[in-house]
Amino acid sequence: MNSMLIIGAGEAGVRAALKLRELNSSVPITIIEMEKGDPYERPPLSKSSLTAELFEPKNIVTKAQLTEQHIQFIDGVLVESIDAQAKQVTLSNHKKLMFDKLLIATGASARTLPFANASEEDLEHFVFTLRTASDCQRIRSKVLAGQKVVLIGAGFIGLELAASLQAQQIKVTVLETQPRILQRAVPEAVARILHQAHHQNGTEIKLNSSIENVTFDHQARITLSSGEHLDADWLVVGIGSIPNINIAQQAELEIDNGIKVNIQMQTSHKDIYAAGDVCSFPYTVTQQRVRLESWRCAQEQAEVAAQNMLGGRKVYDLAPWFWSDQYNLGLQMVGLPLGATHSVTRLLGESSCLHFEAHSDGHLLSACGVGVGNQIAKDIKLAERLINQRKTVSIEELADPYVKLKDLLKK
Amino acid sequence: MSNWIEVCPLDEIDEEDVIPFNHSEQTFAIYRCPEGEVFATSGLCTHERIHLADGLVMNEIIECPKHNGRFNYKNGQALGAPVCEHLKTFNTKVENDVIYLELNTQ
Repeated sequence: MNSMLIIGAGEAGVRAALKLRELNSSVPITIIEMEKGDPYERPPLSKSSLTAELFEPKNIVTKAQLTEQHIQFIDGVLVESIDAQAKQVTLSNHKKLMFDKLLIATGASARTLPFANASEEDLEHFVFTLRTASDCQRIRSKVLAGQKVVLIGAGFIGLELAASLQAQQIKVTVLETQPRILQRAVPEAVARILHQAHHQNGTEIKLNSSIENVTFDHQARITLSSGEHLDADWLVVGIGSIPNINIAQQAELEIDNGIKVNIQMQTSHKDIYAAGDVCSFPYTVTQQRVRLESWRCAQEQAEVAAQNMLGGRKVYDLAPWFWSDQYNLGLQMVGLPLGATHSVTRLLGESSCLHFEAHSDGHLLSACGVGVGNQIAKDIKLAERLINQRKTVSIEELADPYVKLKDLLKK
Repeated sequence: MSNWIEVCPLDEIDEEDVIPFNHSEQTFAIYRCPEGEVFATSGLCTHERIHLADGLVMNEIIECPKHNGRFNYKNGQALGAPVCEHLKTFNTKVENDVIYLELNTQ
């Protein structure tokens, strides 16, 4: 009997297990997860999980549900090594498990800064990153109204945290080395609206600011290269992530930013697959290799991997979709602007816009929008279909707020 | 006993679209399908309680504006991850171009 082994119980790992079971009622499925407890969704950790009165992670499934589906779930155990040739993994409890097909869904870890002058104790007291439920709980345990907190990095984690902490009467300062927020992530028109919202809500964002030095006493004291000092009760570092590729590297799988997979989510070893934040994959629209951190990408890639682990030949060729919530604003984006030659912004009001990027041949490549609540959700979903169906559009029509995207789709 | 409540004029909903409707602490999503018929479901997605009225209607499917949970709004059926719990549906009727919704009576 074939046995399916999954390393990691994040979005990708769990979705793959559920898909495997949906497609095959008898194949043995095992998930190994280093954290203890029920598998949970990560997106709320920087949003509602921080602001809710009680910390209640949103489970993807419970252990009981996995048991019901005859999926073996081993939590609190690390995979120490993969023997790709013998098709066997060694666990931190010294047990060995055989597999016929393996999925690596180990995700990514938060990148941090060296903090040369900090002791272990200082790091424990003053420096946080946000990636796991326990990181979220550590941050929650620090929160006290009236504190001053510095967030390093104006990426999604930093900005979502800023909004969540500001809501708890914390004075937040965000430091960013780039000349604007979300420099690599979103178009300028969208970034401007978000920046404005942070400003209006009392979050200070310092752009073009690099850190010279941080010292710790009763507080963290940050010195910027401009010479300015900032004091903070604690810090959160949100400067991106590093894929968890150690075991893959040691198993001599090919690596290129993340674990290198083909469009079938297969690594350089034919029986080993990877999905989610840990992998880099060829984006079918432009053939460029990318690694993304997207909840839905993780889901979709995992489902492709699961089908192929059972002998299918599915490919992952969808436009990736991403969202963020900050204050009352919702941002969504779909596709990737790689290779775009044309861009256009549809202004929908003071705090709402849609930005499109297209190829000179008329193919829509990406759309990114922001608005109050879920104002732009429908349009992003329509843009998603325009991209996935490889529809050609005219830039003039994209720019015109009176042209319905649904009509473009039906053309 | 049936309990019909008035929702809105039919032409307030575009074909193949959805609007929100609130009635005594309950929120609903009211749909007009491409053929013109009207349907109603509970308003909030069963995944994270996001209002479905900001979602996209394509044929007989409503897609949650947030996390892409998909439902058939005609029968409430959840169509796969991340949603597994079905949507509650309600009877509707159109009389003199006005939409009515039937509240479930206990």
